[in-house]
Amino acid sequence: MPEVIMPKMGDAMEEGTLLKWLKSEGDDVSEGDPIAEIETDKVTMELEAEDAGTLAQLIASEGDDVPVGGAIAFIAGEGEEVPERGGGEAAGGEAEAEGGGDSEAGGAQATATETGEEGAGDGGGEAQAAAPSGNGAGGNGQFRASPIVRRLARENELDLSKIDGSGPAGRIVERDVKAAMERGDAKADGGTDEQADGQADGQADVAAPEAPTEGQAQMQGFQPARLPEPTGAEGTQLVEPTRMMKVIGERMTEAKQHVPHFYATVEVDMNNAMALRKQLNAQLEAEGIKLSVNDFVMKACATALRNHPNLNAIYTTRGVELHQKADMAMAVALDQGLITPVIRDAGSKGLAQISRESKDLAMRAREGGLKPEEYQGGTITVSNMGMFGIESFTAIINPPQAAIIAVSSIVKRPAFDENGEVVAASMMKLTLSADHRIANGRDGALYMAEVQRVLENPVMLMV
Amino acid sequence: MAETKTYREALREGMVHEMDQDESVVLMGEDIGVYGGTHLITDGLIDEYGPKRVIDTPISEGGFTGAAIGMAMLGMKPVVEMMTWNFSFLASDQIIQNAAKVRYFSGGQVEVPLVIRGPNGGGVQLSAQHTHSLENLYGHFPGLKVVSPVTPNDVKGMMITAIRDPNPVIFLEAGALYGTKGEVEEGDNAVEFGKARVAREGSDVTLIAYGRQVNLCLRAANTLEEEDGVQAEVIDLRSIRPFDEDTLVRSVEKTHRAVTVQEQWRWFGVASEVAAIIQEKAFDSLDAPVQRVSGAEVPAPYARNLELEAFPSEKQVTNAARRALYIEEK
Repeated sequence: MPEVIMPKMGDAMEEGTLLKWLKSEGDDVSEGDPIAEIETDKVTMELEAEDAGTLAQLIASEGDDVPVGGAIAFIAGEGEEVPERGGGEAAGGEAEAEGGGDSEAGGAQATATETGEEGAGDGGGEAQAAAPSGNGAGGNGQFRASPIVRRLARENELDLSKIDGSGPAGRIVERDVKAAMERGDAKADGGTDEQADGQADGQADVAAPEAPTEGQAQMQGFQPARLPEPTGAEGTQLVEPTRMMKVIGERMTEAKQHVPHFYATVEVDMNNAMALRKQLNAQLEAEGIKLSVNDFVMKACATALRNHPNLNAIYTTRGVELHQKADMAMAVALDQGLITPVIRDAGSKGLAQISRESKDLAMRAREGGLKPEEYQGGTITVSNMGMFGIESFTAIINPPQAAIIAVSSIVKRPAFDENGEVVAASMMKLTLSADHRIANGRDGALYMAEVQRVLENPVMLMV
Repeated sequence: MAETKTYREALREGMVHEMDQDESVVLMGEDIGVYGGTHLITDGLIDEYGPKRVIDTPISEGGFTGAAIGMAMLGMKPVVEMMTWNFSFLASDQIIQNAAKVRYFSGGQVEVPLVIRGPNGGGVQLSAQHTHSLENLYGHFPGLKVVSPVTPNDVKGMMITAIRDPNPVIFLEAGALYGTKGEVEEGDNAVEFGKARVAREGSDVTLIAYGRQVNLCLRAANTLEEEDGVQAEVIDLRSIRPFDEDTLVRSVEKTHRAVTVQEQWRWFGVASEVAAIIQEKAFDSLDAPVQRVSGAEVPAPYARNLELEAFPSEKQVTNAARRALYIEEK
């Protein structure tokens, strides 16, 4: 069945946003044609048609969040009709088909996840709104209800949201349904037309961000009751956070709430490193390579990890996983958010290669062209705000990693040399944030001292 | 014609019925002949059938069970008495490794028409080493049939079927009920294996048990009717392997709730298997999680008050049913 579904672009992806249709209903499409732009929490990409035919039905609307495996559109082959949707069980089965595949973002595995009972009932997220009546259990994934209740609801077209449950934890049990059927006040609302209208209304309201659901609010660490309503006053503007901002918000809240951070700052004299950089860049100019301060810092952080493996670690369900290779994530600021592409095994790469890779990754990150495998699975992160004239800052750990290093600006100021003479120095502050479940203060201090030693004696970067 | 008889008499009648029909049927066991049997099941039979058909064995369960398996392989139909099923641990190697597997090993060429019978379970203050319910142990092994009748009529009819069966049958008697009475059909009342019995009809909740616990469930059903106006259906599984899924599923499709009761310990028991089957086959009919009632997780105590605490009680069963019905426990 040539149904176009929301592909799974990364392990953690649960849903994506349909940003924009690139084709219209009724257009002929060939295999590989881009038909829509979709946004995940990490990337924006074009979704390509996997089948040739007529784009017979656009199921999702622009702006819709669609769960992975949920139907977005239907491509009809010759003489093929758009199937009736919303039969509940049927939709669940289809969602198991493979979808997505080679997209621009590249080779991401796009197998739909099993949707299970809930998914079957939902018929794929927003698409459900267009479903004909008769899927009483459809919107009921969120209710506690016994199996017989779900069956009765299905058979009698009942809307379980209208029935109060009298069982434990509010479970709707058979007697509740029987009572509601006698009263006759639990019928699911009318047919297709009405629901389609409802969907259109919903779109008209799209400017107003939805109040966070309880689940979302919990993930973001908010207590819904404490969130104020927008004032709507003059001079205010209500902005809906992008998907990426929501994810960053959730992850950073989780990190700050659940990861016990401790911090250690060193001040590094960068004179030698700057001199070496100048020398190397002069040599490398012909090759078009220009090493940045950040390349030196990343290389130094990776080199120093050799003797401090417990800062290159992942906090897992079954213990702390120490990594030999430093897969170094680097924070790249985007217009609306940030992303952390990864330089694999940075410790064994030379400065020139680190420089090439980081430039390439940063550029593609800003263009939204990173593949999931390029921004997943880092073991430690470096966040550099040196270009903004920041004297010092601390960063939030990027879970499940053990540590992140905040890189500040190089500041020229007087310092004392070993003879006690005042000299001009280029000083830079580096602040480690580390997970106290994985490492102790001494580990952090020794590691930062090692980073400092390497940067102040940059010939160490060569070995 | 049906006459009121004890469980003990009905059991003997089943064996005698087949001994009269078939000369290859012989009884074996410790003290079953001259002494008449520890539980008097075989009392007097040695006088009637002689020592070649009612054989007193040494106190060696592994030995005489092995001998009986060999006899069965060569065409005899031995009915072996375990003085209690607790002693079958000594014979379990023969039962599991040989009786259950010879037919399979021989590609169906050699059958083992053997019955091993004896009292199972507790309730008569025999303490920890003499109080086990082994239906889940023997029910686990393909190649064995396992039955657990509770009524006098069933114990006779199922004994007849067991002796006629070409496979080894583990015949678990309700030892505490040898003296209980019930109507027993005259003559050949063979009861087919793999058919559960609806012991009481009801519409609101299904209580499922086998052996002695069926009687407990019947009492609980009466209490539920009197105190809560609840009509409980009681199903007597009778046969653990083969197992009657259909009767079970039909009942739960009617009542939407189920309580499974067993005397043995909760973990890995028959009640768990029953609960699993119900959720697999009748999921869409369920209004509540299937409730399990089992024995306490301790070796069986000797003291009467503690023994009573260690086995399922009527109160536990009625309250489990109330939980399934979402009504207040008492």
